[in-house]
Amino acid sequence: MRVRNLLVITAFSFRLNAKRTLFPAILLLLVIPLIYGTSGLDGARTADCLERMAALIGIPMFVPLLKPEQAPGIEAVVSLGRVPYRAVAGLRMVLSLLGTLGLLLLFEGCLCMAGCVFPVCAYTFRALAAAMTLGFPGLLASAGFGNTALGYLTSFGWYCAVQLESVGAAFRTVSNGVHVYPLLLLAGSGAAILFFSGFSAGRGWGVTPQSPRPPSAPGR
Amino acid sequence: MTLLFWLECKKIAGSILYWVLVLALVLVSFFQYEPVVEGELGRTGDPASVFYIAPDGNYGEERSGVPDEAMERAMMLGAAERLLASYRENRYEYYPFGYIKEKTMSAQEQAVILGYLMELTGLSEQVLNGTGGVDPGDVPISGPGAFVLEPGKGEVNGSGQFVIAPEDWQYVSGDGASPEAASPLSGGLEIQVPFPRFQEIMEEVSGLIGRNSYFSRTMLELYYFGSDMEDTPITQRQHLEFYEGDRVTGAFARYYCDCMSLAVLCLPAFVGAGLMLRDKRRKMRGLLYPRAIASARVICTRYAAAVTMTMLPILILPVSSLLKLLGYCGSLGVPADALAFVKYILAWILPTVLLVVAVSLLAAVLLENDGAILLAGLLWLTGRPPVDRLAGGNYGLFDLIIRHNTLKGRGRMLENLESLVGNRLVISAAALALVGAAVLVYGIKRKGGLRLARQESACYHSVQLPSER
Repeated sequence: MRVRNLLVITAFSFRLNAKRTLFPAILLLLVIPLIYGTSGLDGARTADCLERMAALIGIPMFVPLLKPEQAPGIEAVVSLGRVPYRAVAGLRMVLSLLGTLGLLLLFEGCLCMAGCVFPVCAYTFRALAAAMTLGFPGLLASAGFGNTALGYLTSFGWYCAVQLESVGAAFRTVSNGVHVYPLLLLAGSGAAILFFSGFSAGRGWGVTPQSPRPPSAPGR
Repeated sequence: MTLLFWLECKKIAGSILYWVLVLALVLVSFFQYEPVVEGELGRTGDPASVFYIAPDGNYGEERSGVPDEAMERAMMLGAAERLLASYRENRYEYYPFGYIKEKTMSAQEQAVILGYLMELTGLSEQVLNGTGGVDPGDVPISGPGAFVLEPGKGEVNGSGQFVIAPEDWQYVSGDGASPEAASPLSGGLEIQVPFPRFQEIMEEVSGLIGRNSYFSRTMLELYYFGSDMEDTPITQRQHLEFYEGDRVTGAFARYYCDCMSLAVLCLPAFVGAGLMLRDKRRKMRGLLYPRAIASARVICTRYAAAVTMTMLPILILPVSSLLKLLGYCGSLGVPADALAFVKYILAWILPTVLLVVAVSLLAAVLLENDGAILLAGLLWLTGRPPVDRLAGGNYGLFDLIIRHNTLKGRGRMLENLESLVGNRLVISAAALALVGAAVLVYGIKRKGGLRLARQESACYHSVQLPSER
């Protein structure tokens, strides 16, 4: 019975988030060949392409995962649910992770067909780590403050910071390999996302829903 | 109208998104702009500093003082070598959007390039293709001999690469006579055409490759004629431009705008979209739509509020550096332009902010979701200007931002002032047109038409799980 519940929730989570995550990510991957060289690249240039461009899909793939429950009125429905919201959030993160992996593999397949020479397996997992390190800070902000737009802004800011030579070298996982800092970031932010998503079912702790003030007592 | 404007400003100021935007702008200013001001003020005695005043009136040599022929020759040799390498690999680099791209030519286009190479170098097709039994490296380009690598010369460097120094090459005459004195390999290339014809050929080649190829005039000039982005001793002209034209602060205002330009290409979108999407989040649309207030008034007020609140930190952030610069000028007795930052920010940054906020506003009204933010991200990704715009003075009509990554170059900007003004006017007009479209769409939506966004369901929570049946 529990397995059937899980399947139903998985199917609905996928349907619910596919439009928000997969569609923009695919659009982004389609834009990359128009603005960035994707043919005949060597290992170093492919790494640059993957971490500067393809890893950006981590932002749409992870940041809006908790968006549906941030709508007003959903809170009560979610809190009445039998399945803990943290479990649903975790499930969505796993689904997005698989989706990101699939899209990266597809993109790398296209790169290979375009004559790029690079270690596919190693770069796939490094690019996945790069995408996750871009998406997780945004998802954490979204879970913490109950605001998806803030999540996008956080991820965007993080992406710009990673481009700086002084700050971002440790987080350029495709070029420099996966070191301890990205792993710490992923583990820490992943745990924090699950922790915060439990508060008010994704509405965060920093934002309280606007409710009309009670009318003043007559005669005061 | 004024009350509504202030209410919208207050709403923006109360949003966490806005304060993250302010933080981002502060970081950009703190890490990119402020160090340059401090650096220049800390080395005023350095001849490479824009503040440098030569006691004897002798400044660095103007670039035009360097023999033109030497620079032209270096450009022609370098470009010909690069074109030959690109032709042999059939891989031509260009920078259409600020990122590197490669183009592969068709057989017909390769034949055209080959023709140009033959004309440039005077070499045969076999030699250029490397099919004539000799390598172009060994080809007797400027005489009957060839440059060969002496056995045992060259060495492996720390990175494991095999490095050959110019003196390792040796010239061997074609008749097998004794080797002559060694000279650099590239020095043997001889260009067979005059410089004007070379420029024509490069224009043709660049046209075949695409926008901002390595062989475009601006890129070649950037590589071979140098630019004032380099840390070279300032010239008399640059000194006069800085102290008399820019009146010190103008140069720093341009540099400040350059630092902020990439940030304002995306960040203001969050303010615009956040303001419109707040209605949906707070379920205010049902209350707002039936009100008697005109759609134009709602949208224009919000637009003005978003633009004003975005511009506010951009105008405030350079105040500390402005005070430092004014103080320094006061100590020297040099006149300074106290309004330079305001003028440059309003002329260079404001049109971009207008456009980005307008795009996000229209997308938010139309889609009613975070698509507006993703669209702004896409705009940021594709709207970055190419490399040849970096030094300033080279403006396209549809450039979203203005670059000027140097404290020098006022004269270059003034030479192209018409295209700069044209660009800013086009961007501003496009922004206003988008706001007009947003008003139109908002009006239609208020009347119940154009419903692109589907009503959110209660997610999977409305679904009965098998175990609950």
